[in-house]
Amino acid sequence: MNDNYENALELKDVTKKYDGFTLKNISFNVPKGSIMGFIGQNGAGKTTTIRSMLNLIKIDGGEIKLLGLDHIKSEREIKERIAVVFDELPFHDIFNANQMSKIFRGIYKNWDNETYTNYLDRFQLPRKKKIGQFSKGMKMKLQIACALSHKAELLVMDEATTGLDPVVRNEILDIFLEYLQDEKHSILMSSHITGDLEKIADSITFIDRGQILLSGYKDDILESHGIIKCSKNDYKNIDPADFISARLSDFGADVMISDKSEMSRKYSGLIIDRAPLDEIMVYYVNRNKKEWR
Amino acid sequence: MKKIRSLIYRDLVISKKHYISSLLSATAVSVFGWLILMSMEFGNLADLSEEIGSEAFEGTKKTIYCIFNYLLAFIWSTFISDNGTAFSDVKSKWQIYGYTLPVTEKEIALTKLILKVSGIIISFTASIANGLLLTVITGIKFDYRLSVKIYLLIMLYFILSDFFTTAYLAWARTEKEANLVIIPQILIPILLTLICFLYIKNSEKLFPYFAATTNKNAPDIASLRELGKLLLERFGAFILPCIIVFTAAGYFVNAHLLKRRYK
Repeated sequence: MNDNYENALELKDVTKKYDGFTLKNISFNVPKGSIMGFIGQNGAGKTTTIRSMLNLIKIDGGEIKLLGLDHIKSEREIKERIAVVFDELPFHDIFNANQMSKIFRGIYKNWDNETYTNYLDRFQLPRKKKIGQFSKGMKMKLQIACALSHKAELLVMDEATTGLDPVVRNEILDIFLEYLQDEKHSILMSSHITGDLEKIADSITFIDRGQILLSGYKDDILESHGIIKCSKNDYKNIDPADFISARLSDFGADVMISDKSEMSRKYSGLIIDRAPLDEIMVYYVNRNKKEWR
Repeated sequence: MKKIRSLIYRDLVISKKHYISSLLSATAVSVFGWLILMSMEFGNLADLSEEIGSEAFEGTKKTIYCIFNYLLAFIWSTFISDNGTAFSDVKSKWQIYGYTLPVTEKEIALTKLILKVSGIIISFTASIANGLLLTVITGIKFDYRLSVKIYLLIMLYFILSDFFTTAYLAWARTEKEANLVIIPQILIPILLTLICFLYIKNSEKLFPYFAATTNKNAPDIASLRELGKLLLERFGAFILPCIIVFTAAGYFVNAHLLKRRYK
């Protein structure tokens, strides 16, 4: 078993072409022991990228490594050591939690039933009730309990918290933070709920229309980006090359910049506010327009 | 083997309703058939022998025996396949989730094969047992050569249907594609009927007796029965090899088609 890897996930120039959409030169790494938030609006290419990593779709070019292993050549070994959580529960409604344990016990070599039952107790999930009768939150918790019960080193989540209420989302995020206590564990979490990622992600990768626009440590991204709120006159004095895009209104402009320290020196009279991730995402999405309302 | 056992367990739980309904149907039809035949042998229906004549009565009894014998073989043969599992796998997204698990396409295909072979054994054994039991009740001689060929023919129909349907579902990747599985399910019996019809139509050279009796008249039950027997004599030897070939081919085709990834 290959334990000597620096990055739990490595993507290098991954390309996938469809009619009307192309995943182009996707490159990013998820360092071992960290959690990466993979953000983008609907249709940006998050799910396509995740499916490429898991060899659910064939890529047209590039290289993918999970846990230091080639994603095709070592597919079986990789799948023994990773866990995937989708936005919808893929288990048949007729099963109950006990039956799922019986199934996974034979499939995963490292299945730990004690861990699984502990999660069931913690999530207060009934063991003999059919999954079809679970609420959405319960279904997600069950999926996560299954994912975390076979000593997976990498957890891949595709929009797993979408549609859950804040209480359940918070509970799940706490579980992930506990999971990351072990330095060998890593998480790739795709979401368009940036608030969750701001809470727990170490790094962020932002994808839009099949291309990576931003990738780096979350704190660095939040530190370096800012919004200049200025009047129309002040806006005229800002060089377009200095900002990502600007939201115009009748009273002025909100201008997204990507180098706060440099811009605060250059435009010293202007106030630069902190930009949360969701705002950064919106401004980047509109970067081609440059100005928008 | 642990993985195969888990996958088999999974499929059995999903198919439980299908198997139970097949078992209940077989039981209900069996009991109904036994009661009618017992009544014809020992009960009130035996009085009909005097009314319609013993020859006609024995003929009727034999016909009812055949109907129940082969109808039950048909019901037992439903144990051979449960395409509902494959269909709901695509619908519930278990199929896509399954690709993230450490199981290979061959292991999945092998699971289906084991269940199919088990179904074949169950249906064949149950059909034979049922035929023998009907013989005990009615005293009608169990023509095991003919009955076995007909049982195998019925099973072959289910195996063919399962082969094409399972292969299609192994290929399907979306719910929309899976919903179109109704097409092979309808096409197969239509095609088989068409092939039989065309073959029978050209049967003058091959089956002169049948041609002579039906030249000017529509075929009656007796001549159709004779034709059936002739066809079985001619082609009966191929039924079992076809069962083996299509059952084995199902494994290889499914294992290959499951390798197909998503778009």
